Amino acid sequence: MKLITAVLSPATFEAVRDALAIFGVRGLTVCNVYAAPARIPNRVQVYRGQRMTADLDPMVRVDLVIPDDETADVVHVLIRAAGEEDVTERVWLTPVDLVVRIRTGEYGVDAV
Amino acid sequence: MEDAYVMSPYPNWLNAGDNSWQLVAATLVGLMSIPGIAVLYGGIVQRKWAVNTMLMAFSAFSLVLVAWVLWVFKMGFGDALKLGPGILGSMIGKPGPILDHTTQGQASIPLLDGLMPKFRFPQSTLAYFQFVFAGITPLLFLGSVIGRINFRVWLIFVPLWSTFAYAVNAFLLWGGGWWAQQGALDYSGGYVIHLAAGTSGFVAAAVIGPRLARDRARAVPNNLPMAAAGAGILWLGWNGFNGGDPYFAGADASTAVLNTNLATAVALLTWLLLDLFASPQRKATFLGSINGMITGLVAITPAAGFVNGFGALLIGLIASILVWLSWNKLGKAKLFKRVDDTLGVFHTHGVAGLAGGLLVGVFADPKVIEYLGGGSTPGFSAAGAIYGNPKQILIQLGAAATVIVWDALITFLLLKFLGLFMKLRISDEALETGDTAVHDEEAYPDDTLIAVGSGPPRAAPPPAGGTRTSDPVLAADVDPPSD
Repeated sequence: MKLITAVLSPATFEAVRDALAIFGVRGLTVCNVYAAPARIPNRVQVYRGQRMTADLDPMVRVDLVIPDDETADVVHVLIRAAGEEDVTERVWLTPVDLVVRIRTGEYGVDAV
Repeated sequence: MEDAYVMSPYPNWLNAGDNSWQLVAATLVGLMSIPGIAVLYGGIVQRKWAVNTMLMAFSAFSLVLVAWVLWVFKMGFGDALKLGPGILGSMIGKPGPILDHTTQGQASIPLLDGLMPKFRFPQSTLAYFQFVFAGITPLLFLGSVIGRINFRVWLIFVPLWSTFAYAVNAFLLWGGGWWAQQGALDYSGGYVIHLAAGTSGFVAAAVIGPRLARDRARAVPNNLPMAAAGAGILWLGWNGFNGGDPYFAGADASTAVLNTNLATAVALLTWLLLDLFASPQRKATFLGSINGMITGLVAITPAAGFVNGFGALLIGLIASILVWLSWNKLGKAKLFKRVDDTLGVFHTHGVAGLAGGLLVGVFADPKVIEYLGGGSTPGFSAAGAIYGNPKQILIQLGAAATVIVWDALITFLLLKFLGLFMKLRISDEALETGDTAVHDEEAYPDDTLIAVGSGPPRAAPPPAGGTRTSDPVLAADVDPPSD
């Protein structure tokens, strides 16, 4: 099993979620995060005359555990859905030793 | 020494009670705009548009006031400008400023002289009271164009619209213009304000174009408690909106206030029950009940001081059912899917204003008296269809058609004209970002994510879950997917 973690722009996330749903991949865990953009300059914000720079962009982080044989397909979906070039979107894989579905007590791939 | 004793706070024609009430009523209506509409709309829109929405509300309110005292007030309530025969001879007043000391004199609307009691407050009170109505109207149709209108276009469009659309509406119905002469009833702005806002908002939304498809599909509100505060200010502010329109702190003001609240409560409950028993989700919703509330407020507005309590109750009930159907059924039709009326102003103001304007033609009770008679002068009240005057409905229809056609035309022409010089819609890239792209501000900034100063940013520590682009470790560990 692999843990796929992707940091995506909100627009890409919409596309990825829809694509994964079509392929029947379920069980996403999602959180809002901030990530450094690839490009400079940063967004300026001005409050009461004081200039500030926001050097982080709002992004969506997706965590998803999948069986090994589905890894290539899911990563492919993620890459195909990628957004604009100047947005830093990344995906990485982590080996997963064990997954337990707490309510049923199922182990391993059955619990994914 | 006797001079000191003849000083007087006001002239004989001024009545302190009337003037006090009128100023309080005007202030209540002003509060409906800022902060009322600003926080209601600011809370209902997506998080990324809250600042833009609130700034458009505050700036439009300011713009209308400046235009109002420089030229618009006289176009709405001054001497008629003769443009031709019939309706052309009394559809708009002569523009002019109201900045000199004469505004301390007794208020007057020239074409209504002799048709209503003489005002007991100064012209400045009348001008301010009427301004707050003119000021809220663009804020209402702002709801149709939020989330894509170019802010600079807004700043120019609003005073132009007040000049060419609002002033005509006001003159025709309130300034003693043609439809007032025909006996059309609009107690407090069902047509002049709400039907006008619904019409103009819908046309403006069509001309400017829709929001981003993703924003339309996922337009979730950012702060419902803030919307609740705004909606509450609207409801109670409406006591000034309708209670101020007899221009006197008399019995009809009281009638209007009670009717307004009754129709509103009924309309809110009607919408809530429809949601509970007839909507797909079979649940009552907060924002639904707010729609019902606004529907009731809007629908009773043209009728508030002309109908009795039964009339008010029925207007709240009928209007709420009609607008609920319009919102939930008509709103799903093709035309309404194509035109992106962001907050549905067409339904809650346009349809509700029209429904109220027609229903006053049905329920106006001749025994509900706006101005008492005296001597040989009869009092003033209005009779609707159920009191033997069915013709009133036709008059109401005619006035409604005039407002719809004129305001749609003016909105269309003004925006097409401005579109020759500037982009009406914000660029797609800026639409993605929202407030920070347009104003360099956002509604809920996070101080941990921001570096002070405009120089190169410091490398901020990543928040929990975040990653840094320069981190080389991860890239090396990934096995490329074998395709």
